[in-house]
Amino acid sequence: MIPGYGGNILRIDLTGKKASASPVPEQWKREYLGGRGFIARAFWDEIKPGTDPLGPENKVLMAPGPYTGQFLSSSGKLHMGALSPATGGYGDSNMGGHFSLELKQAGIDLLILEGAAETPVTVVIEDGKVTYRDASAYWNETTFETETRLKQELGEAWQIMVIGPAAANGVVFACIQHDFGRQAGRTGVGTVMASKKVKAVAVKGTKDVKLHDARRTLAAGEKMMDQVMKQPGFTAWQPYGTPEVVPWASSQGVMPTRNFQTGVIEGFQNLDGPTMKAKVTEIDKGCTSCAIPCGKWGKGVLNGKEKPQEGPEYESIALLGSNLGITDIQAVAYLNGVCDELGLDSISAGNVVAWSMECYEKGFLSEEELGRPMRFGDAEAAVAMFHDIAYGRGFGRILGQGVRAAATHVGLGTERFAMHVKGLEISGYEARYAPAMMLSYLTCDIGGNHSRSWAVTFDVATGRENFDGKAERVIWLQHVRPLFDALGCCRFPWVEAGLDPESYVGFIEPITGMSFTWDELLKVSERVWNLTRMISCRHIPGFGRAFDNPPPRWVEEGQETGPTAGKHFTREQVDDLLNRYYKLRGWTEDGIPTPGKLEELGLGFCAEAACK
Amino acid sequence: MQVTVRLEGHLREFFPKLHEPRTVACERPITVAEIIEAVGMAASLPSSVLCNRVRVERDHVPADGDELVLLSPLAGG
Repeated sequence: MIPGYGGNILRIDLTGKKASASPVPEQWKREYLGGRGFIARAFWDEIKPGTDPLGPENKVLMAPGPYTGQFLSSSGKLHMGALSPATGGYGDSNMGGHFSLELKQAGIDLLILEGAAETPVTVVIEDGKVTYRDASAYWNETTFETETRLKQELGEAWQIMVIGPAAANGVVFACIQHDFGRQAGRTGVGTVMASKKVKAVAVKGTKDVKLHDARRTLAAGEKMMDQVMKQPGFTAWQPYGTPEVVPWASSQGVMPTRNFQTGVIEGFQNLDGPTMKAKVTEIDKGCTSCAIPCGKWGKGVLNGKEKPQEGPEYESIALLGSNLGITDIQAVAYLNGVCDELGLDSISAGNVVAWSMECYEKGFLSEEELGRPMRFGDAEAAVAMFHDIAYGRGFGRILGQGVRAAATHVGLGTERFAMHVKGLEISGYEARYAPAMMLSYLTCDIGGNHSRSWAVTFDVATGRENFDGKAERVIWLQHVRPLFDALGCCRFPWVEAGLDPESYVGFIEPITGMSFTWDELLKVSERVWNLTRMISCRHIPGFGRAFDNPPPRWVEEGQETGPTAGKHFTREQVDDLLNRYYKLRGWTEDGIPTPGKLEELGLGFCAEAACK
Repeated sequence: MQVTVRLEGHLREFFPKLHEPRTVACERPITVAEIIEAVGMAASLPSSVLCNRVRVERDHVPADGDELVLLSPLAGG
């Protein structure tokens, strides 16, 4: 058996309350590595076409990677996947914390939750043995309440993930929380977990993970830890975490503001890292074996009310701050705490509420329809609406189905400023005059998310009006960045502290005994990228170019203010970008991987499912 | 006077000629912004600048022998 892995796939059938373990195919380790790779591969086999995202046939998949917990810095990532109730296609998300290592030490490389329990349960996994606890009494509790309850009942040694009332009430962008503030936030993986009546999963693992060469793995890890902590980038941003980027984002006009009407906000200084450190942060908080704890635990404050919370990260500051017209970091932290306790993805929640505010201010929705005036800058109104969304009350029930569905429901042209791609709300970067970043959003396999390719700096460095090299850069990023998700570790030592990404090649052989070059690792990532494209192709009727579509606002109007005021690309220019991208990928003009490309990548089994 | 300029993060990929630290020689004291432009980059591109590992603004004037580190913006973990 290839070392460096927990060893097993644990399948939990919630309908029959049965669990079974089977070994992870050795071929999967070589061809998909783990984490996101295992999720994509299992997704193809396990979730059949025609599946209802909220039906028992859908499955929640969770996977650590070979690097998880193996001495190298920032190796605490867990990847999760499911057919997304937000987009109808491939969905995944990941979170940090300590769950991933615990799962691996319980002997599990892939956890499959399938079927649906009759009544709410907490799934308890101890070294691979599965038991169930009745969760009926706390089904609608907040995430913090349930995680606290289970920590008290089971003990501190247990790692726990929970859903909140948003998931329980069918909000399509509900997340899974772990470690009091770490979120698997995107694509509604929490909603799918709720559809299976699973309130929480608790895991404890005490098994050793066999390594190919433990001494060399430890030596490589120690060297990396030392390198990370000596990086100038580490000392500069670690005290502040991701809010460090706020001033730059606003100055470049890429910070979404008032529902992406512009990319610059007055008062951005009140949202930056030093201000957050002074007004919100109380202590740093990190994941398993991390040298650079980027989490910031502290209190949000709104009108004298306090709320303990982790963060906010840059993305939450952008969507709950500038995008709602709010420039008080304590209020933003409070909103972040509300989203976390309700189990709402703060990106999607900020996005849909911003849309409702624009609808109200422009007269498309009234106070009566919304339940209250919804004006930009009104944090109390946002808090009230987040609760309406999470508990399915009033117009909150509409917003809880996502901005695409809400705009379709309201009509009246509000679709023009519904800011999503493929049904997933766009995250924290305004990209209408940043071609590589826009292309990143349009072609991201889960929809409007930044994590697969973050290319704003490239646009600024190489010229926003220049299209040459942009598709190449996006594809390279779409292979490098998700590679970390397959390996089970965090990108921050590379993208934030400045380590060379190719240095990660050095761990694979000591951990697993498998030899890969950098290019071979990127080939794995390309394989996974094409597979996730084929998954959406298989599940979404007519999937193709028409789904790689920007929101009309991005191709019809310029920003109101800032360094790129008035500028935007046309639909024809966006088509040009997509043409370049598809050609480089070896896809058809409609954005579908060709049979030849699939064969080249060892994905011949997908070819017959190409979109018809 | 001489100032050493070093890039971190994605900036090293965008400016491969600056992959290794570059020494900038100048006849008079100049600002951080002028030094960034002297190595061929828009002064606004780095998210932050460190002078001898201490954060400084673009109008800071380094002394002879100082080291500037130009940090790439964070990149969405």
